Amino acid sequence: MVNPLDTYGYLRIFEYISGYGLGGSSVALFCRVGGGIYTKAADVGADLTGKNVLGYDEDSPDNPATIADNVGDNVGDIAGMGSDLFGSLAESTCAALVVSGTSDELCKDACFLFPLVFSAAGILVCLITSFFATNIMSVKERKNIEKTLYFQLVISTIILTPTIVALVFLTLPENFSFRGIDVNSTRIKVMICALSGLYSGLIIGWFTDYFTSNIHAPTQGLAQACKQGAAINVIQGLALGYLSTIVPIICISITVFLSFRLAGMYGIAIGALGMLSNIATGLAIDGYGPISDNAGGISEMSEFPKAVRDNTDALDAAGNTTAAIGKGLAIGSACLVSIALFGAFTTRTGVI
Amino acid sequence: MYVATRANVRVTYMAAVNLKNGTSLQSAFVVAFRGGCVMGFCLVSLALIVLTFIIIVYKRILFYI
Repeated sequence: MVNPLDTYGYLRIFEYISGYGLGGSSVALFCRVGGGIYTKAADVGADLTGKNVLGYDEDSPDNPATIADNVGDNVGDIAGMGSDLFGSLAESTCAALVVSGTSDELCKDACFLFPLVFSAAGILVCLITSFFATNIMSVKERKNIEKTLYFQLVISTIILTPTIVALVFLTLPENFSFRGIDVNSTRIKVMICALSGLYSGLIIGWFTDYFTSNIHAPTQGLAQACKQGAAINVIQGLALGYLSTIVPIICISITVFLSFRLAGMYGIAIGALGMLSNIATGLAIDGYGPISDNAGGISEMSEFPKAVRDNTDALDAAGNTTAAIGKGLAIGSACLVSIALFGAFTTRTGVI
Repeated sequence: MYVATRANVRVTYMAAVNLKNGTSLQSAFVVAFRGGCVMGFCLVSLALIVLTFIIIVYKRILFYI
């Protein structure tokens, strides 16, 4: 029999619950790795046999590998990405819960539920945001598609900012400390952690958009390099890929440093949750990519007029860029989550 | 994924049916985006609901046995 007021009881519950995060991430491992490898293998295989050997068009109905390619898009980019972000979300929430289990003040009035309330508020904000894409900023021309999708991320971040401030003042106690660690946190400090995570997510998204969108300099430069041959293309593409990791790494480092200085390991977990708070919008613009890609494949296979294929191709081009934004968010948040989980471990064992 | 595979066909259908009246791109975009939305919101809500449920159940088991 555990006394309900005993905070060690809550710590025990949260330790059991952290198995939920482990389950989420082990499913993510299979879906992400298996699905990801299948989709790339099917894509390359379809192109090799269809385009190079037999000389068919992309997504030609004569080529049986097209079906494998389209299935691979669904498996890899929707199921894989979804389970990956599911694992990140579950793990960061569990890490925040385990760390908050070591605080007497947070366990007193059920303030440990702040991570759950935070994610729930994120869902509501993303619901409001999705109306902007479907009803208000509707797509009239082709060049607007990418802007509409990217502004989804911006709008949800802007609406989430006052929401986080209100939530922190409504749910968290004024001061709280953690057992065994010399960190005194206030709710203002936690608010700054959440906001830094949220805005570094936005910056990572913007930077990914800059490097992958076809209206900006890096992609156009790569297209120019393609004129000189395949080797230059490979080398410059690899260089661009390495270059594009600079800003996300700086963003994540700043978030980790700031959060750890302000609120210890709890701050890092809240920073990861802040990056994942508008994840519903991130998943929406991410899942949009393979859906429009496969719509193009279906229109080609069912022999619709050329204009249909042109429209779905325009949707698909924007979808590739936004899928890259989702990948950037997923990997950035996974980086923060791993540190938060390590923090939960060290808090529990009392290593630091 | 179930929703996504069905959304694929609907996007193509919307793009093909509305080709004459000029709203092909817009309607196809809206359908594709809603398909993505279904996946995003389902996933996040499921994660939260299951976590909340587990917390409630474990609290009952540990505190009241």
